[in-house]
Amino acid sequence: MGGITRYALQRLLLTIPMLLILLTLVFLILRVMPGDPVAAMLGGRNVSPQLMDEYRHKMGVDRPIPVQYIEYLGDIVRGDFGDSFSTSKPVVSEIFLRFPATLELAFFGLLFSWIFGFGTGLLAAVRVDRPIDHVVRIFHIGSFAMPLFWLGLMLQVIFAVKLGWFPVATRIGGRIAFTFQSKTGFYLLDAILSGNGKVILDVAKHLVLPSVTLGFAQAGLLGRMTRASMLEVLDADYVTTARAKGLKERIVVLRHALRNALIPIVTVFGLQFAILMGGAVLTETVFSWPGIASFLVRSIEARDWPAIQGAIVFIAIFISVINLAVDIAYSFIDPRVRY
Amino acid sequence: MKKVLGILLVIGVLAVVPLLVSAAEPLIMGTTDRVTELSFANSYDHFSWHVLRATTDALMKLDDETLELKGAIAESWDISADGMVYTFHIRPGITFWDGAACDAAAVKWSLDRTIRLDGPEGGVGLIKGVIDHIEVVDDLTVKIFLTQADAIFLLRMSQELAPALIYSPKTTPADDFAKGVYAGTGPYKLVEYVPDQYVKYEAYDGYYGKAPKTKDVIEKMYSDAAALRAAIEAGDVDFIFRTLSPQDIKSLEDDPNVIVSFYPPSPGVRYLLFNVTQPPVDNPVVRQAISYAVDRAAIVEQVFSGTVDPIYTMVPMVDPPFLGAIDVFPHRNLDVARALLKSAGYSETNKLELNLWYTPKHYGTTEGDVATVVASSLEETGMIDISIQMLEWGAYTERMSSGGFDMFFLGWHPDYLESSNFLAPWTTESPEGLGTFFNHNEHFDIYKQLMDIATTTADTTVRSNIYKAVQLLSVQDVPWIPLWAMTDEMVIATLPGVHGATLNITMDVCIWNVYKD
Repeated sequence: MGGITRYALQRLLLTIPMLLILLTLVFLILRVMPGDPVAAMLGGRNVSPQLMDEYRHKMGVDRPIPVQYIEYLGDIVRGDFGDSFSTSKPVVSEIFLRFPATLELAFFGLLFSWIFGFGTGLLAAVRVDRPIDHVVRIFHIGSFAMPLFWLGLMLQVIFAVKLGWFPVATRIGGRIAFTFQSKTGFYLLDAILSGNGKVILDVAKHLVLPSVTLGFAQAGLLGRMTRASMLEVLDADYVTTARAKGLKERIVVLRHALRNALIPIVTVFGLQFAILMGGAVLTETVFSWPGIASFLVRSIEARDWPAIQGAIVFIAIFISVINLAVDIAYSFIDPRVRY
Repeated sequence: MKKVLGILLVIGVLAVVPLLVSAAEPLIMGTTDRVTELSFANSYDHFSWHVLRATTDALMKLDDETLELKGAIAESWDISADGMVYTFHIRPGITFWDGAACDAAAVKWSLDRTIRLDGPEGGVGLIKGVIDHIEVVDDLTVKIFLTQADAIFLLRMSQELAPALIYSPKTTPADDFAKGVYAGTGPYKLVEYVPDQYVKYEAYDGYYGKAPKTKDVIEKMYSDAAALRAAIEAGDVDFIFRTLSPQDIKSLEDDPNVIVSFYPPSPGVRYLLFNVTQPPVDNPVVRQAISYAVDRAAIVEQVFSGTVDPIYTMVPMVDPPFLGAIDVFPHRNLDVARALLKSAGYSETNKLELNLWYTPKHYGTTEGDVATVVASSLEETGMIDISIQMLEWGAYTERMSSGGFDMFFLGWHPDYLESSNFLAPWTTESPEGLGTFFNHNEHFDIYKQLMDIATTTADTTVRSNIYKAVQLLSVQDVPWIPLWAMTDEMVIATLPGVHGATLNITMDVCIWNVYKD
């Protein structure tokens, strides 16, 4: 068994106790929170407490907590997260319906943050202590100090309402939606596959403002990391040697310095995804983006226990897998790392 | 010459085609509402019912304009002398979108199925207890036997109640909730519903009634009032309906590119409730004092910028008023409030200490402000000390039905448009579920008897008098204090050139009447 395969298996095995702890915590927190699903669903309506008890019994939420816990774990082992109390549909299908939207948003948010973060970080590093460096540093600090929801609202007001360049919210325009049917849940991919220019443009325009909002704070963080890492590398002996050999500055920076400066930055990629999932809660709300984060928020409000449990576990597994992939990819970027 | 004419004809046709295409552009509505579940037996929320109603009919319906109850799938009906048997004669030739005939068998199948499935999230209880059984007489005649005479049975069988809607046995699953899998009679076909995104409709060519004015309609869902307002300002949608914040309404009124229309009055009511078993509000004199001290004008102006209307009875004083509706609750009078508090043993030094409970999101973002304004108005007596308490909806309703509140806010969108639905729920039907515990009140039996008589009395004069009596009694017992009508939900904002988007007391927009230039 190769080193990487063994490492991957070890990491996957370590994921099992982590998930068990997470499942237990989520299960217990939901049961001790005030309010139960039936009260959230039927409260305020012309329904007697007796009928509410009847529904509690039907939904199985009146059983002893240990019994519920054992059944819950048993169902999850079989891949059954139950049916959503709110929609009566299997939680797994509800998650897979919304997850592509979140993934698409996170991908473009990440792409924006990397392009913008790297670009500005690099610029600041090669122009260190010059006015442009100071401007970029202020921008970096400002970007991750800025509240996401405020940024989102400002972008909406300026670029959608005032200038009319982009739509305000949602994933697709009403007029275009009549000529479009998503097959994969990834709208941009579906639009490209459809070959319809109008649809591609509409879907792309809907992605811009939420992606920028989500990626903005990360861009600042990455920019600062890139600048610091680049400054360290640009002072290294091998870079001085490269310059002494008469290489052009562009080649010194991009080929010799940047590649090495990337190593510590790539390690935060996995963590960035976790942070992006947190940011997605606000971004999805501001932009009416029908992803898993906004689904989770609504499920919590409705005390939809199966949906909350399913969504949290799914997000946890996803972030674990991303982090594992990053760790494995690390060995390819840095040849000194061996598993 | 013929050639020239032919070329001109082709050019003419080519020139007209784009116009025809643009004429078929879909109508786009924006809303903050969500579909919970497109199931007749397991949904009970405004927007799910709105979608179901747009895509199928019931035996009866309210006329879009006059609001008179008239036949829909039923062409006519007979009622037995004792009021226990309703015979409906089905309109011939009605079909569902899946091609199946909408006949007496389909009507029986639909209603029986809805009653049998009776989902926990549904409103099936509104028809279930009343119907004993259903019999098919012939292809176009169905008899419904009741468990007791019911003065509002025809209303219960109307399109206003999703459990009364009729759908196709050919497409709809027999033993599971529909969850969007059904075929209706129209006026629209449900083309696609994508959760949290949109609902697409296409006019059903075979609809037996008047054809919808727009062929394709899409209803897009926005996460909050701010996004909804921005969507109409940016022209992303043609009109918006439910729910804008008072500030957004005011702001849109100043926008020359948006037309804001108000359609008051509203049958949706907001009110304070008391748990009549919970000290110190177990004393009716205390509750009466609060009814004199509360300042509706402050709520209307300070919180809602005048976009809602104060109310003095639970029964909507709409136009025409609901049966028996009369303004009964007192207008603000701090002197009387103080005198009542004094007679109950309270003073400036021995203040009445009370909690005021509210829930922060379920009724929009203004609830905290309402609580502050109401608390201030009560404390103006100098003899009341209010502690404002807040709980998120799930916990709020649980505590409410377990008797944990003394004084709290709630809101009511009617199940059906009849006065009893504004009097019975908190007093005789679900006093514990709705947190008043009024079944422990000394006058409970009187209320019960009155409401029972009203339910089985067809004579509207008698019913009207009974409802008046209950309202007058409620001023003494004060299980509730009516505060304001939700007129802020009776607002539609449109782009110029959009017509027919109006509201009536059903609080719903009839999308089949909406079109744009």
